[in-house]
Amino acid sequence: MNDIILGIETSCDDTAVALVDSEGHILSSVVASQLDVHNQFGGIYPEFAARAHITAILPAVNEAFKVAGITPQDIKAIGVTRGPGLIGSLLVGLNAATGLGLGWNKPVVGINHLRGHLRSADLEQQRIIFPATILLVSGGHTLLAYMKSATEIELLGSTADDSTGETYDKVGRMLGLGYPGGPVVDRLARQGKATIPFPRPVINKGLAFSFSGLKSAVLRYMEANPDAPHEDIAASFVQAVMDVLIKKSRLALKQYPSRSFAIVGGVAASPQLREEAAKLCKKMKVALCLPPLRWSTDNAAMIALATFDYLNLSIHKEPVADLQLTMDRF
Amino acid sequence: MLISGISTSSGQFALLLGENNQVVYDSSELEKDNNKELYYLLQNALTACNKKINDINHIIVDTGPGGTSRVRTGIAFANSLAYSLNIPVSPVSTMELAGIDAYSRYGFPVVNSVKSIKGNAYIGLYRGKNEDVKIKYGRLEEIVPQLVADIDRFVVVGAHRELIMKLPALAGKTVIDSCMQYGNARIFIEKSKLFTGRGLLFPQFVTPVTEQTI
Repeated sequence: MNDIILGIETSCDDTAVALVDSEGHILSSVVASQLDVHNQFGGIYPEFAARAHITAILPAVNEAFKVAGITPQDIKAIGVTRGPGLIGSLLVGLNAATGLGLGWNKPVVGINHLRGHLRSADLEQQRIIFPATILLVSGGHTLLAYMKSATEIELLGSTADDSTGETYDKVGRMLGLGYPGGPVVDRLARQGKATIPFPRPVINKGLAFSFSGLKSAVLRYMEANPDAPHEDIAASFVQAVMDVLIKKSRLALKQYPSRSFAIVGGVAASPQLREEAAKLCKKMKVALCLPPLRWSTDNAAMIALATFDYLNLSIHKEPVADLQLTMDRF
Repeated sequence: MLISGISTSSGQFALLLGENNQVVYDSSELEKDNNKELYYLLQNALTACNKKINDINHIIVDTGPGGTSRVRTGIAFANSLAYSLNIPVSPVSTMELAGIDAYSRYGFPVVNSVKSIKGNAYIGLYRGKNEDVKIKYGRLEEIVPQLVADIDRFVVVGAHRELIMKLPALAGKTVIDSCMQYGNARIFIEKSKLFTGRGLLFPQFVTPVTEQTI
């Protein structure tokens, strides 16, 4: 009963708490969404995100234990996101975790949010076949990584500016679709034709990404063509994003021979991305790993699972915020 | 009864332990690096006092207003520590803390101000004798004269002491500069009887003072 980790994730706008065992089985996973808080702003408002975490965190912890049917004495340790993320949000989770750890006499380990995302593909069941190439596409991050094993991770390339999810949100706002933009932009894109030649930023420059130019191009196009059908704008934008993501993924798979390709992060929910990735994997003869959508977005189960990696390697990172954390660090 | 007092809203953290209204440990005086994490400060405090975490019976925490992230840091820690130990946590605003502290020195009502954004401020009035603190949010030059309309003499604490003393609308009143930027968190321990009665046990917990909550 003692091989259970309490995971806490508050890096952005969701207060998430989960209890997970070393096999990746989820005993409970509680996510308090702040969508209603941020909807009116068309994006995440950091101050209000931190305020919402304060009121949500303890009820979420309490609920997680209630659902799992265990007590705090049954857990081995607490894993909490230490970065990257919004500083005000991270501090709530980190300080809540350390308070709990002291009171329950349990170790508290600071976890890299990005490593959590990579591990999300193995929640509930082992899906990734190593070595693997992983595409992380979310509201805060866009990167490609190579995993020789669950703990040997190499960063191949990341975005120099906006993340894919952020770009989706901003284009969604330009199109008057509200927040979050991803699902609605994808839906609208299905109804249009990709006839507008939006740029594919840095598509031929290795494994790095850049999306701010694409976002600006959409804005400029809409200003110059106010009557252009929004369906076609969405379709052209989504096609540009897909072209970049798939071309970079193909290049990574060529350069880093892999047995599987996984997509994690909120944008993994994109039907267009899933279809394109399926085609790519068939062509490249690698297994496609797509975790259930509930584990693609920010959650604490992935943080708990990553905590086992840290403990197995005897890596004890202090539960202190680090906004500059990169994928290759613990 | 061992009480832990936590104040994070001001320039530096203060983590205190106290018994029988006496401070037995004050991190703001004893720690070389008092801006360390709260768990580190508390572990040091317990070790220094030869106490265990389960010896703590009550927590008193500063709820701001003040540095927003700093206030939440203290509250998140205090709430979860209280939850994990199944002990009560009492909220005390910085306005009340500063008010009680300055009143005990001067014996006059206390006006405290904390900077906010876009030219706004939090302004608190503590009339003394354990009365509730009145907190307002907005323009200093509008709120302070309203708050002290029926008071002839008062003490100023906080970020805008000089500004308040020069307000034309306060002409004829005696305004005393306390030279205090913040209240001293030792009040949490020395006057703990004022606060322990309001202790919250989960599912209740402490939330920060913000412009939305006053």
